[in-house]
Amino acid sequence: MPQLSNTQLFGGWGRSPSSASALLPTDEDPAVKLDALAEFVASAPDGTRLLARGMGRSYGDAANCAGGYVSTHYDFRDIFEFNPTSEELRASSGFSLDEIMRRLIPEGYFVYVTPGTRYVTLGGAIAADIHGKNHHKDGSFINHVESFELITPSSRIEVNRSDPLFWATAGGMGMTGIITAATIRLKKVQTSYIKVTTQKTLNVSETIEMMQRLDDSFTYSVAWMDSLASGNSLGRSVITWGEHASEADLEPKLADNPLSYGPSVKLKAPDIAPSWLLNMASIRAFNEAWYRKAPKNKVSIESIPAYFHPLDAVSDWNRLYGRTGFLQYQFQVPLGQEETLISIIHRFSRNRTPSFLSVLKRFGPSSSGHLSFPQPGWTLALDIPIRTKGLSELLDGIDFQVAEAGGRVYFAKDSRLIPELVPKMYPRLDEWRDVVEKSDPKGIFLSDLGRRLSLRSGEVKKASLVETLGAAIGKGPNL
Amino acid sequence: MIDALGQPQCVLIIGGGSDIASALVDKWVDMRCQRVILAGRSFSVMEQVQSQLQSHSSAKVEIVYLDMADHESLAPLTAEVFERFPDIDMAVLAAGQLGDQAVDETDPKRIEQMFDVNATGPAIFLTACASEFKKKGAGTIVVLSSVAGEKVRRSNYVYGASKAATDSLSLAMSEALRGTGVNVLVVRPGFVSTKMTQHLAKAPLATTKEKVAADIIDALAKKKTLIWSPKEMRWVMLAYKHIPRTIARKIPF
Repeated sequence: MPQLSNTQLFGGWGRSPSSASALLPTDEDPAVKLDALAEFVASAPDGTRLLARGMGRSYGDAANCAGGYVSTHYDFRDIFEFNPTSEELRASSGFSLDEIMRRLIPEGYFVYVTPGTRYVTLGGAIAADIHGKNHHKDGSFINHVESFELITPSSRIEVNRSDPLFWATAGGMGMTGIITAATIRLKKVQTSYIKVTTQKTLNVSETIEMMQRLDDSFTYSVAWMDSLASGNSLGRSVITWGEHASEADLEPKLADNPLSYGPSVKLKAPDIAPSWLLNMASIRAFNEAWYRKAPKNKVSIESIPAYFHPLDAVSDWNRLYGRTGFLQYQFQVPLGQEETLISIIHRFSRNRTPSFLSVLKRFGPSSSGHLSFPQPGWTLALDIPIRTKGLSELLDGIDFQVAEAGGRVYFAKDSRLIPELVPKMYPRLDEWRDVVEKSDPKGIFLSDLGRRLSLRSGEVKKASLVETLGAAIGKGPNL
Repeated sequence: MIDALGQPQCVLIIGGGSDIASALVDKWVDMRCQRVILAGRSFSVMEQVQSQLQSHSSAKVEIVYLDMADHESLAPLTAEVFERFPDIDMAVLAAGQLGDQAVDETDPKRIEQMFDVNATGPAIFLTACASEFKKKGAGTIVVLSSVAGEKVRRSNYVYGASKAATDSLSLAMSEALRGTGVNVLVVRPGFVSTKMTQHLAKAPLATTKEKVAADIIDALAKKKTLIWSPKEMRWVMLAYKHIPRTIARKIPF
């Protein structure tokens, strides 16, 4: 492995784990930059590792490349061309959804898919094949991508939907090469507001029932769940359904400027929060207050940031977890596995796992990405402080339950999955490996996540844990 | 790669025969650890640990020769181990020698040997190890120190001083490595009932190797850089370090 100088530390949004990499050398001149980069990749000595990093919003080690090079979103910002006739945007991969929205919402165009934060890059959105509150209607991000330019060890090429490399890259977490630019379709909107229907539920069964019955009448749907509630209130939630508001929906004051868009960061979290700040008591109090203050049933008009990106109003909110950090556990189980979902929610509640605003969402059809996360079913995401007692054992057990139910854990959030379960969770892993092996035989594009989960190598060993827990699967929720 | 909960996948153990280290590895192979490299002088002891590990885990267990007293070969051999096993993400320094104060006082050779194994060797190894991990951009070094190294006592000052050297070096190295992706955890166990101490009378707050191993795993998840095991020992030592010497003399050890 070539020894690098001027390395710096990079971590995930959960602040754990981190590793040191060197910045990828790039040329200032946009005319030669990409060819120079392709040349650098092609002539990289054996053992070199390299990864394109976006805004570092993946929670674990997906954007880390220990001992290798990382590019940053500042490296890819040269193209931004919107064509209103075709409603297509061609943009460099380093632009964030925030920037795309700031430039194009005032023109009446919105991105088809936005996750819970605007601070993700175009490249990152493709690499993680992100999903949003409209997955049950519009699918994941890659559904709205026409093509992208990719630098692989052998070439700099435009990849379109008929190329296997396209589908290996969607959800491939950056391990197929560097996405430098992409062409995406945008959605015409009349206003920058969302008509939101809020519904409070008493427990998880009601939440599931209501989402099953009503999701299809709305473009957007999501439930915020109190993971600490138990007994008859287990999984009590606040569901919010959303629809793009028409001009007629707006009050006169808003209707004057229906496409106004100016999200602001209201607070900045300090870097000195102690690790114990977010503990069982404070998180429980928060969940309680938030559930109580939600209206039982109401229709309201909300801005795009308020509905889609509430946490973006607090800059660097991940710092509130202190030095020890936190992790996000996001899994999904297929339709028909509602019992498994409830049993997992029950486990989190019984183990008194503190999680701020757990999010439940019903997925629609999958994309064709080999390692793309969503498939028809239910997904639940929980933010959990690392300090939580027994966290490792709890999540290991749930990994098995999820795998057994035909579900999976989301790579963009992962920082601790059992590697042996990856082929079961992602049955198209071998197909992905074949495509990537052809384009990058030396394994240059390998992230810390890829190494930790042995994504590139077929080698799967196994710890006695896997055998013990595997045998215990039959015990179901009491595992 | 070490995960968010501080669990390693490939560990290098220096002093592969150490009780605390084997208790630690016993737990790790039941978690994410897939390969263990035992390094030390005594093959027969390491082979015992190897077969014990393989009796309950399919993790690969390798044995390599490394002698803390052979200062010439220590750095190149360390580099060689890292080259042979490029996935090493955690190193545990557990080599050490307890000595016998009464005999040590009468034999300069034994004093020299004590510092060779407990201080000079570890200084060379830790520095070589840090440099290997720096190249990789990630890695964690666990140093098994001792409360004896925090405050050197009159009853075993030769041993205590040799441990104090390594304890201080590790703490400062940990600071020097900030921002490199390399973390150092210094562990100060109290009296642990092990084969190294079986001939000694049990001290207060005595603990077991399993408990120390559990404390280390917990500390790694929380990204701590210094722990005492049991954790009450921290306050005992704090008090002990600050009581006036005239009173300290009355304490029987």
